[in-house]
Amino acid sequence: MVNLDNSNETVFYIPFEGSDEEQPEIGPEKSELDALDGQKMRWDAYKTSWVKCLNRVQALVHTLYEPVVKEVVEKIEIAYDCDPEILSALPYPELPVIAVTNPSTDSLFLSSVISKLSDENQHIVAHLYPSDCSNISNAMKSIISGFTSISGAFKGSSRSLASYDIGVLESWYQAQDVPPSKLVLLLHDFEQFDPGVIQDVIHVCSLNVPRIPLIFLVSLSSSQSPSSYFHTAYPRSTLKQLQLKSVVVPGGPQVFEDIILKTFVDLSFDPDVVLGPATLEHLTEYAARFNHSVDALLNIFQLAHFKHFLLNPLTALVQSTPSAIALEDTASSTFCDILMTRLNDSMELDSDTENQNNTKTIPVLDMPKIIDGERNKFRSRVREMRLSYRLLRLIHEFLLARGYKGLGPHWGGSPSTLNATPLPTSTAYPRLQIFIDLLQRDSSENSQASKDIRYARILLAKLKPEELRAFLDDLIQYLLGLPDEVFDELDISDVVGVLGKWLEEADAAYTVDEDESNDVAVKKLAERLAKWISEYLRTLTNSLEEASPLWDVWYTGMAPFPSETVNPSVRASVLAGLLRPTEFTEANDVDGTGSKPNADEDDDSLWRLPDTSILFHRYLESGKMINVYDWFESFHAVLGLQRREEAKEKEKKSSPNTRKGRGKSTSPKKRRTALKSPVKLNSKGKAREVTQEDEDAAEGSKDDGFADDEKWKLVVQARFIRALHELDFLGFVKHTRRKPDHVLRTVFEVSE
Amino acid sequence: MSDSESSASNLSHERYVSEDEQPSSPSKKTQKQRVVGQHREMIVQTAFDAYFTHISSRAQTSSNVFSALIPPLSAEEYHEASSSFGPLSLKSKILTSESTRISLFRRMFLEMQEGFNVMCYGYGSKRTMLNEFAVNTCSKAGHVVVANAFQPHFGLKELLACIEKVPGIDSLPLPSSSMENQSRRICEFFSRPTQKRHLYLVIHNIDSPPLRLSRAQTCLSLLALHPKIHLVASIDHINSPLLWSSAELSARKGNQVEDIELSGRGFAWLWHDLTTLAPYDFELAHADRSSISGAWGSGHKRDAATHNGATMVSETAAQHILASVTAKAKKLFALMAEKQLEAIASSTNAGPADDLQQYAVGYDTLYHSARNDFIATNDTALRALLGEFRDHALVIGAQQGSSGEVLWIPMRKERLAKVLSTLKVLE
Repeated sequence: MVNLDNSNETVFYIPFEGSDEEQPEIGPEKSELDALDGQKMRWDAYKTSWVKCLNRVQALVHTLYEPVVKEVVEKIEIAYDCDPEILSALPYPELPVIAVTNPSTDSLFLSSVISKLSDENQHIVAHLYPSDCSNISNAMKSIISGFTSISGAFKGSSRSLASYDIGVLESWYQAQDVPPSKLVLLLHDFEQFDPGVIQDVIHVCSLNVPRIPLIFLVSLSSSQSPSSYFHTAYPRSTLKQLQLKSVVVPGGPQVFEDIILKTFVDLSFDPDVVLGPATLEHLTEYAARFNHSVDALLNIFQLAHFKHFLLNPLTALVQSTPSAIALEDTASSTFCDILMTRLNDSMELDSDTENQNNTKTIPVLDMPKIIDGERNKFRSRVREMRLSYRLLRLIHEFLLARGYKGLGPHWGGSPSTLNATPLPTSTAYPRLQIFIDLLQRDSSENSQASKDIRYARILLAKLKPEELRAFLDDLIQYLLGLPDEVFDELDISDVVGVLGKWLEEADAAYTVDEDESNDVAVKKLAERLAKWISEYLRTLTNSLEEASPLWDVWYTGMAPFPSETVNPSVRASVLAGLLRPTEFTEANDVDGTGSKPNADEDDDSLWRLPDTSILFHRYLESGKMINVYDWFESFHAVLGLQRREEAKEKEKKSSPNTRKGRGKSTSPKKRRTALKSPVKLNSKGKAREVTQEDEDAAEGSKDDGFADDEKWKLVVQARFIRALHELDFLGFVKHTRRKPDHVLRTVFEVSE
Repeated sequence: MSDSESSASNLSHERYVSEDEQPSSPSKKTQKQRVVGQHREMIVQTAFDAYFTHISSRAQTSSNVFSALIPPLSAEEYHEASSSFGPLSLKSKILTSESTRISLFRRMFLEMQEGFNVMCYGYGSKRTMLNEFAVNTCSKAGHVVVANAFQPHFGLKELLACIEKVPGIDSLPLPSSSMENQSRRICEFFSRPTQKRHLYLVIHNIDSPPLRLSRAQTCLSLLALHPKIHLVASIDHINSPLLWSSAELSARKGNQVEDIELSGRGFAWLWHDLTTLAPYDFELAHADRSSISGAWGSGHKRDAATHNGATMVSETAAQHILASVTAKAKKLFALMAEKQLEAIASSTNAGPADDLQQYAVGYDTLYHSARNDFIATNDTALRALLGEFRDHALVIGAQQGSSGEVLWIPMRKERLAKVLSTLKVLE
């Protein structure tokens, strides 16, 4: 076995000693509530649902990127095929540079470009990272070896050129049996390159084109137009050597929102697990504040799935139901019991008090069927929810198109004004926010979604006859265009029937000569339609949590997203660990069952804390600069108190009745002195006084010998140095040479 | 990364809003009082305020100088004192409850299988915990490499060399022995479809100075995004999350890697709070305990204030030196020690200032005493005897104003007394 505690070694290797065939058991922790093989079922269910979601998002992103990928590849293809007549006017050939702006900074786009280039077009792609380019010779070396290492065969011992000489690349290129048509150099994170180095690289390379068909593919992430970065960072002397073309990859908040909506709000795709408002809200906030790349989005989706399946044993039922035999097994008895209670409860609620007597109504054999039924029921409820979003959007867009205001500013303006003025909403993702509102609609009528539905009703009731006809027409067309399964499942044909009848009525009223009575009829019709729509929307948006007794299998609801796993507050955690270490202990977790000697006493007293915490408390009380000596003295005072208190406690334990009075009389005063901040101990006299007092007290109460006192001093100093070094290690201390033996504070958190 | 600052200000804002929405109270007077109370509560001091308060004020500190007033601890003294530190008084839940630990380890392992790397933060040494994870969980699934990056002589090169101990890696060609090529070769090796075993890299303190360099970060980011290489790392410095860009933090591992270059670079961290409250004794084992700035290894220059670089001499060191000198030299040492002890004992100013220079004996005084005791008959002889001690830093000399050179033994009084008594016994 390797001794990992050997302080002379810095790295240890623990070889794997099993056989290659055996695979470690992977799966979530076994829960008591799991069914037979529940662990594995949950894990499999997780894999399936996550892969489904992942594939959907990736497919969406691919469709989004495809035209741009094509554009980039085309630009590379034609890079040196320009009209010779245009080029002939130039005194020297230009180096083709294709600048790609990819605001979402994920590798998906570039990797699809590269695979297209190297697979279909037989170009060679080399990569250059900012860290390779500390100076020109390193940069050239990386570029040359990037190309030459691909073929592998180029290793002449007779090579006399320096490894950074571009001549190496040229001779390598000429030595190829089938020379690649283009050499594409991909520069990652271009903004991070040193422009001075890159200027030289460009100069060297441009001298050698088109003998070496080099093309620079530059990846930028700044959101303004790619060429403007070149124009600000590089002088004209460099720019004149370039033939700059720019491509912008779609990205940014709108695209991000589109992807989410097409994954979770689209009627043509059913995710296995529906994310609840809590997760979606966290997602919008995270994206708006930190990062709206596709990678970040996928990470959050994956973690939400991961957590959902990890914590809830019932999630084994997400896609499939175990057979009745598996459910009857004794191993799944607890699992079955939960299911039974859940299903029974809801049945009792449904049928009120009719069959109260038979508590255990469902036989296990029927269970799979019931669960399958619940699954279908829930799926159709989710579809209804999404349909409601689509219908409201349809209403809004119809109203906008007719020149009305629509359902309000949070629904977005008309397409023509959309780009001109920024949305007057507080959230960066207004469309997603509406869906979140719909998910959260409750019966209280005060939620945003309820208000929207009410408002839609008012507006629809005021439609003019001709508009009413057009609206009904639009609505029917939209409903008829729904995917077949949705159409069948949600009984849309009935809805279309009703709407069709109204459309006929509206037609009739409109075609007959204009008449008072017709106007009234149309008005009534509009009111009827508005009322019907608002009621229909209300049914569609009933809370998903009430959709099924097993709703939490397919829906994450209000379960919070584990945001600290992607966006931790490291600083706050370290500070909490130092300021309130007791909060992290088990005793604090299990309502203090006497694991501490004095649970009844004031546990917050400073002297009970570990040394580093004591020192840190003192640190927070000081000014921006700390005199190490005074810091030490204040620490010393607390340790003195700690020593006396501990001795007292020991005494109390051994003889509970003796020397009680003395302890009482000294303790409060001493505590006060000891808790004085180091700032107050600043003047030398005072500091002396306190320590003197301390030492006297220590000597008096303990009657220790001379040597013991000396030893104590050493221990205090050692403990101080150790705590100081720990704080230094954690980054709380900055050393300064401004004043001897002073340190600077780096953290200014308030201790409360 | 940290939200604490903004959350503090949010908190105050929220409080304000929620109280504003309260229904108004019946009488106007109480209402007014409440408003005042609200405002008082509304002003919650945040870290920003604290920062500006401190920065705007002049730093007033006393003129005490720690290293001048308190002699630095020698390594032996520290070691001796550390034996009385006693056991850890507070242990976090993760250390005491095995079930919590097991379920956390299981979760971390699952997350790694799902394409994330695990990062542990929180106060307290996480070394033993992660080692346990490495030995009990990771080593059952694949090759494990554990790196103590906090050690001062650690370098990424060593880590890469250690990974190459995995059988088979060194059979692949290495174009040049640069770190980038080494990491690329490692990735290539693990990309081979025949390579079933994964690699688990456990890095203690990935925020240590050698790994903060951009070159090291590049190599690590290449390894970290490989689907068959999993990273478990710990950080302790409060600002270490600033090491990585958002893109690096959220990068994702591909499912399979055909080409290393296609895979992108990043870390894909998932963060776990692993507060243990355990002391950093192992991490700081190399620290120079005699200096207040010794936590970051010997790379730092010693504080100029520690006198002439003199450190305290331990008892054993003194005895070793004394055993190899002549009898006369021993006598001289005994003489000096007695004088120094006398001076300490007679001093009324017994404050914390253990500055031994104040108990030093003047060269002239010493010369007279030595001549009287027939230790050294002339100046040259005395200097020769002292030379031996000075070479071993058992005697320190300094020029002190007009009184000429003064000499003292850099030992605490009780130690000195002990050495003196052993000397006398030997005689």
